[in-house]
Amino acid sequence: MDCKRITSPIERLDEADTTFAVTIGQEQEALDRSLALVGLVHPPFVRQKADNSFQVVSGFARVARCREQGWSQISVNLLPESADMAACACIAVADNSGQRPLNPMEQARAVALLERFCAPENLEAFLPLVFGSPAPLPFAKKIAALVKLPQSLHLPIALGRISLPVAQRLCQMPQNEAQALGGLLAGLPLSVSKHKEIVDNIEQIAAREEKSLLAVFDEPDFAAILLEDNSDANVKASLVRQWLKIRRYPNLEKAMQEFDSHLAGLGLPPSISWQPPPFLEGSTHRLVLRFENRAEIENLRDILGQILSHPALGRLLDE
Amino acid sequence: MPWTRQITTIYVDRQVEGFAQTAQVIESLPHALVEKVDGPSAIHSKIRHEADSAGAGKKILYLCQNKGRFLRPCPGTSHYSCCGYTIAHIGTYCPMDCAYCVLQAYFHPPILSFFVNHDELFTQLDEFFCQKPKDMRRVGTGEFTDSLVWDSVSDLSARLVERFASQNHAVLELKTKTAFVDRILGLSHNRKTIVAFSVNTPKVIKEQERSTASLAARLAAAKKCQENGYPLAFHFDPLVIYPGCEAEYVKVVEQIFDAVSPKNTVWISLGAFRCMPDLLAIIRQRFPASKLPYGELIPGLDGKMRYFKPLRIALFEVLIKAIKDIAPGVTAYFCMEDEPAWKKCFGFSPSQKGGIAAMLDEAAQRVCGIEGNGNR
Ligand code: SF4
Repeated sequence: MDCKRITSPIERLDEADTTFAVTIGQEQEALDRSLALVGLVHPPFVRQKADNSFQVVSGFARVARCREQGWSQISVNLLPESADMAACACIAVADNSGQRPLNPMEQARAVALLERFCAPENLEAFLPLVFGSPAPLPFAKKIAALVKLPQSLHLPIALGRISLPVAQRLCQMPQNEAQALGGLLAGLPLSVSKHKEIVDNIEQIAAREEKSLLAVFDEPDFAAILLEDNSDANVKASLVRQWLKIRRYPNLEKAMQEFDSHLAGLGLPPSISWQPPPFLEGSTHRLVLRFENRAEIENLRDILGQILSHPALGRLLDE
Repeated sequence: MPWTRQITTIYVDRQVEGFAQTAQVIESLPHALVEKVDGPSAIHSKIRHEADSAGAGKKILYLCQNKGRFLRPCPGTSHYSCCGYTIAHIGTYCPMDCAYCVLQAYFHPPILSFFVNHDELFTQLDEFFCQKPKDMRRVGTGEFTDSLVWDSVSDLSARLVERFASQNHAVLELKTKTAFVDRILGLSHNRKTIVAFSVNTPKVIKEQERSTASLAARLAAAKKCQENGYPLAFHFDPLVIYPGCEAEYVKVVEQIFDAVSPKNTVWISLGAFRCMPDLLAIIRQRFPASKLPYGELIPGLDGKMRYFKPLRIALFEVLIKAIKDIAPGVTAYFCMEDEPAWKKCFGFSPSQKGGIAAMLDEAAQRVCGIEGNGNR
C-alpha cells in the first residue's frame, strides 16, 4: 500500500481516537532513548478523517511520547484514501506485531480489532499477524474476550501480573466479581498455580454457600486481610491463601494444624523430619533422618527411642 | 417420562441387523428413528460435537455386539480393598442421569449402548457355570449401566434370572436405581438372583439423581421382590456428606428395614462419593446446582477425589451403628476403603475374615444357598 510520508502539526493527530490502539504495557524507556538520540525513525501510520484530522492507525506510543516531549510537528505515513477500515486494522496489528511479540492483552486487542473490521470469513487468515503463526479461530476468540474485562485489569494482564489462564477464568465472571478478584490477584505476587488455587477456593466457597464472590470478599475476617495496609505483598498473599484454605477445607486444615501442633510437641531436632501422608489419607508416614557419622546415628537412635514413648506419637499415628 | 421416550434414534450396527434382540428393542421403541451404521465411529463424531455430549449420548441407542468377554473381573481400584466382583458387561451408559455418575467421564464420548449378541453371552455363561471358577461367585450387570433399566426394551434380565436359577455356583446381582421389577416378578429364580437397590437420602435422590425412582418407589419395589422370594441387597453408594446427612441416612436404614426383612438381605455396601478429578468439571457443567464438587474432597491414594477421611469415617460410623442396631446379621461392607478404615468402623479388617470377597461369598451362601467354596 502506497503511503505518503508527510510532516504534520502534532495537534492534527486526534488524541482521543483510540480505535486502532493495540499497545499496552510496553516499556517506554527504549522509545524515549531512541527519540532523544535519533529522532522518530519509524513514523506512525495515520488516515485522514472526514473532519480533516488524522486518525492514528499505528504508533500511539510514539505520538504520545512526542507530544509529551513538546514536539509541534511530527512525521507520519499517511495512508491512501483507498485504505478501508479492514486494511487499517491489519496495518495496526502488523505494525505492532512486527516490532515485538504481543502480550496477551495486546493479542486480545488485536484480534478484537480484526474481528470488528474484517469480514468474518477472512478473520482466520489474518490471525498469523497476531500470533506469529496460524491459530484456530475459537482460541483467538477466547483471547479476544479479554477486552471485555474491566479496564483496570488490562494493564495487569499485559504485564503478566495476571496470567492468561487466570484472566480467561475472570472472563467467565460478572464484571464486578472479575474486577474484585482480578484486582486482588494483580497485587499478589504468586505463581499461576497459586493464583488458580485462590480463584478455585473463592469460587467454590461461593458456590457451596450459594453466595456471590463479592459476599466472600465481604466476610469480615477476609475483608480485614484485604484492607490491611501490608507493605509486604508476600505476607498478604500467604494470609489470603491460608484464610481461603481454612474456609474451603475447614476439617482438613484443622486436622493439619492439629497434626503440626502434635508434631511440634515431639520437639524433633532439625536432623529428623516427619512427613505425614498427603492429606492424611493413607497411613504411611515418612521419617527422614540426616546424619554424617556413627555418633549422629546413635544420637538419632536415642531420639527415636524417646519418640516411641512420647504421648503425642499415638495422636500423630491416629492410634 | 419413561426413558424410552427420550430415545430419538436407534443406531443398529449392521453386524446385529438380523438378531432377535435387535428386533425386540426396535419394537419397544416405535417412536425412534432407526439408522444402520458400520460401527460406532459416525455416532461418536456426532455426539462428540454436541455441547452436552454426556446428555446427548443418553438420547440415542446403539445396538451392537460385545466382541470381547461378557464376564470379566471388576478392575477395582489401587490401594483400597475391593470385593472381587465379576462384571457381566451387557451394555454401557445409562438413560438415567446422576450427577456423580462415573460413566459420564468413563467413555469418550459416552453413548447408550446395548449388546444384543445374547447367544454369545449365554454361551459364555454356560462355560462359566461348567468351570465354576472359585474366585468368581458374584456376577453383576450393573457396573457399566443400570441392570433393570433395560427391562423396558429387552427380556435379558428375565433370561439371566432363569439361567442363574439352574445352577448353584454363583449369584447374579441386578443393581438398579429404578423400581422397574415387573419383568422379573413371577420367575423361577431359585434365590440365585439378588435384586439390589442403590439407595440414598431423598435429598440426594432429588438433587443428584435425575430420572431415577424415588426412595419410596425403590423400597416398594424391593418389598415386591421379597414377596416374590428374591434375596435383596442395598448399596449406599455414593454417600454424600452435607449438613444433617447422618440423621437422614439413618432414616433410610430404618425405612429399608421397615420395608424388608434383614434375614432376606444379603449385603449392604457403603461407599462415600469418589470420582476421577475430570468428573468434577463435568458435574459443574452438567449439574450447576449440584454441591458435590464443593465437598471437602482430597486426592485419594488411587488418584480419585474423595472426602477427607475423618469425614467419611464419621458418616460410616453412624451408618454402621444403625445397620448393626437394626439388622445385626446383615453383611455390611465398604466399597473401596482401606484396612485402617475397616478397623476403625467395623472393628476388624477384611483380611481377618479372609478378605471382602470371602465375606460376601459367605453371605451369598447363607442367604442365597450357593455352594460353599471349600478350602478357598
Ligand atoms: S443410575 Fe447408575 S448408571 Fe445410571 S446414571 Fe445413575 S449412576 Fe449412572
